[in-house]
Amino acid sequence: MNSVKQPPKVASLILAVANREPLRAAVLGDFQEIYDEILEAQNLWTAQRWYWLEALKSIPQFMKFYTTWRMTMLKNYLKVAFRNLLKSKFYSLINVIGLAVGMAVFLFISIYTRHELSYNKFHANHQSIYEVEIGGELSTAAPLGAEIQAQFPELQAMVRIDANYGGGRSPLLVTGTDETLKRTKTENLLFVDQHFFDVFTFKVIHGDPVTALEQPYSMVLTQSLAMQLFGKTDAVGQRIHYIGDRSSTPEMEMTVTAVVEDASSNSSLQFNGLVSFATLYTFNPNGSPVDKDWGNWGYRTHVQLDPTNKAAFEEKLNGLWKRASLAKWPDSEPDPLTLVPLAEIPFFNNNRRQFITLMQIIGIFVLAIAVINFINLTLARATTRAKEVGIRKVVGSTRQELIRQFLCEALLMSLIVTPVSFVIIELGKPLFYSIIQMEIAFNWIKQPGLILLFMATIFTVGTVAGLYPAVVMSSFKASSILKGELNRGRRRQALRFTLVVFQFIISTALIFSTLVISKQINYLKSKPLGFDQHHIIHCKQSNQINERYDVFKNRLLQDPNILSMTRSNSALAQSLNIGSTAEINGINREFRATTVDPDFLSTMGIELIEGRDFSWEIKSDYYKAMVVNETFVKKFDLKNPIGQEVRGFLGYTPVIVGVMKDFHNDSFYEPIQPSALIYANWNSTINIRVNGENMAQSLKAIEKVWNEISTEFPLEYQFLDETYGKLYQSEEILVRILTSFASMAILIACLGLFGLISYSAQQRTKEIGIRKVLGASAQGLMGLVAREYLLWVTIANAISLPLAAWAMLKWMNNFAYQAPLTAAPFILAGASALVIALVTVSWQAIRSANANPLKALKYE
Amino acid sequence: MKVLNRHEELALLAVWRLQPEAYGVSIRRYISETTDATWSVGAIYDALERLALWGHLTTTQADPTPQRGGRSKRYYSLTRTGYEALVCMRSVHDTLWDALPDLGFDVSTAGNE
Repeated sequence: MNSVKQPPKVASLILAVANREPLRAAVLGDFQEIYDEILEAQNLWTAQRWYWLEALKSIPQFMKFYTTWRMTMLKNYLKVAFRNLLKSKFYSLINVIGLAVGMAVFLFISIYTRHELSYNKFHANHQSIYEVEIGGELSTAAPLGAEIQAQFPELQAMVRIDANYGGGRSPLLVTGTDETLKRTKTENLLFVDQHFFDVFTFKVIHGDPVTALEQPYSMVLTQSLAMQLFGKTDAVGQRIHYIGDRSSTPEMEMTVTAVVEDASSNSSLQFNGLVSFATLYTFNPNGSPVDKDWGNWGYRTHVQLDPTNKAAFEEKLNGLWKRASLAKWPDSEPDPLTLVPLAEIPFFNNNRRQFITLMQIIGIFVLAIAVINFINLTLARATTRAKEVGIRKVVGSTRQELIRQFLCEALLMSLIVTPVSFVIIELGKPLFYSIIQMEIAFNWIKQPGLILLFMATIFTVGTVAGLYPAVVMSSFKASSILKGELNRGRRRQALRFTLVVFQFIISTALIFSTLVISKQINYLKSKPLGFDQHHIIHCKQSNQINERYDVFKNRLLQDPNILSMTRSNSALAQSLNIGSTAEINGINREFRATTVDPDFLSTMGIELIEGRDFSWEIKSDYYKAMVVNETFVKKFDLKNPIGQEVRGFLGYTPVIVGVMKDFHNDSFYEPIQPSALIYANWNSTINIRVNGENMAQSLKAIEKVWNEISTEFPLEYQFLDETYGKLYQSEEILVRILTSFASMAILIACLGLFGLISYSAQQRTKEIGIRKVLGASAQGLMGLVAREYLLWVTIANAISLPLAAWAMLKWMNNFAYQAPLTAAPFILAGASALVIALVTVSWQAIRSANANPLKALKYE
Repeated sequence: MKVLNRHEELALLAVWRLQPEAYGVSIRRYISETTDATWSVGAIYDALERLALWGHLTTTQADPTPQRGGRSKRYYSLTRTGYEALVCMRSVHDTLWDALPDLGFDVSTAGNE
């Protein structure tokens, strides 16, 4: 027969798949027969067409036939599954609770990590936006952006953000007229270039995004600021009187040109309002024209370009930068500029990614512990299902069908668990938010990805938890089951052992890490900084305070509770804000510096070990005197530091007049840098040392004087020790997460252990009864039941602690200063795992040891 | 008693009429001719296999022949319960028809009026 005349291959394949033997052969034969008939009577095309249409038409019917049978079996599986669940309510409950908690924890962590990894990805162009970085910081000179704009027309866009060293500006905004006059202190206002909305994706609700930031004195408000100021979102055209918080920003009349939606929580760019960069040109905040002075830093420069041109552009950019830098500072080689992709900004120069990975691992671990519970309990109780397996096999069930049945049961279990974990998630939300110190809006309906993740989790948990027990249970031999000689299987015992040990390895490791991390953080928080950081209040000065600082100071110092005060460039608890390089005796090094007034050392209580402090009297100290720390002396190898000139400090060449003791101005991640203080008037932070015993009174006094002088700006103060404490916020979140999730892990593991031991005690009811009748003591019986499990936990400890210690030592390497690793956390973690396990186990052990032996022996 | 549906009844009748030569193609052809409509292969098998499951039909797998691409035929034959089910269906039909008064319709032309 000519092969062309054969029926279509694909269609017959579909038919073959849709049917099973013996029907398959009959159906295919029938099709072929009719096909041949048509082929003979008419033509090939008609026959082929008939075959295809007929095949497609028939398939639903064949499918219906088979699925009906599948459904019938499924119904039976479900019925049996439900009966089993209800029959052993106790174990079902343990399984449901364990899995539900595990799933909830896993989903919480997933939601959190998803959020953390989604930073800045909502910008439509995020893959082509880069930020310029230099020397580990995202701060560049203002002219850089202007030069980029002028010299590289091939660039898609350039946007500078004057973030004012990250904090944004905090002006006072006056709105309304005489009667309705309203003064609103606001924070985090950014001055941005006009192409801001072309580059970044922030939704403009009112106004024209193209022209909104073109003209000077244009202002864009976020929705919430517009509501606050005007009680409505459509504020376009409204006028605002802007009173700057610094002497460098004058009072201005602004016009609202657009209103945008608030930045979402996964944006690293947070702001309440935007002001056109052109506004800066009108008042030159740093004294000279913004775009001309290469010493004018603190601007974040963003460029948008085709990612394939990144390397080439970086090179050109560095060429430009080098020329400009050498023109301004001929004797210092500039640090190179690099481009950081926008999505990388949140992870730039920090260990957040590591932190997120750690969280993910914890989430998976907690879920794994819950899944292991399920596997263990199912396996332990496999014997109760053995007869069913035997009968099913005898009646003709294949192994495949049995596996399918047990998998169905596991999936059913995870389906039952789903609503429970939903409830846990909904109830646990506030707690979760307080743990991570953030609110992540997760909306199941609006985020189909979340539902997908949820379903994938359920499905995976069901499959993973069900697969192994299914394989084991379906492998029972019908003949041996029915003869009653099901071997208990040393191998399965070994597996259960491995799994329990694994659970406790994780739990103990989590407890241990929690202890070590919280110890490290307490150590950092209590480690002496090298000066007395307590009872110091710091605040930003307002314009009016700046103008009448002497009055402010004298008035305050009359109060006996105010001990002393000083001004500095910025508050401590961060890296000193001026980075510089100097060459002394042929040693070329970087150092950090900041400016202060002569009262700084005495107010802060920083000890002077050589030379003298700055002096108000000595006029030549102004811009010319410098106090350096010990590390500075060491790093520059100064034999005789006093009187040493330091060339290269922004062209001022100050002289070292004193050496102070090392103190920590930054977090303990960083070792102490070579640092210097310079007496100059660039100071905008006021530091006040007060009497710690009369804190409330002192604060009241400061507030009173402040309000008299600064009528426009209210006082906003912070405590220096708290500011230092905030440096370890992410570690504290880590501790909180670890604490809560480690306890969850332990809880779930113990639930499983409890289930296991209850079952094994129940299995041994008769044995225990007989032993008791023969005179065994309660302690002896307890030991009998519990011994094995406690041994397992001990083994788990022995494996877990060294591993955890190794991991923690690695983590500690992040810090320049480490709390010594003592025996305490080892003992505590090991003992607590053991004690928790002991309590779990004892309850059941005592119950069975104290049970009436008569009952035990009568049962059956 | 389980009332058969139209497909099942027709298939059962066709098997009775055609046996011992009742298999997919012949049954389909017979039903299509008598009802003057094209029946899909799937619809026929759906009914046949269900009937076989209930025990109204037995099946025999014939030896493969060179025709039909070397594939065997699946022959169906009526069982005792299948016969009973048909008798039962008939009595249902009769009862229903008998209960109707003679309205003087000529059934063969009723559709054309």
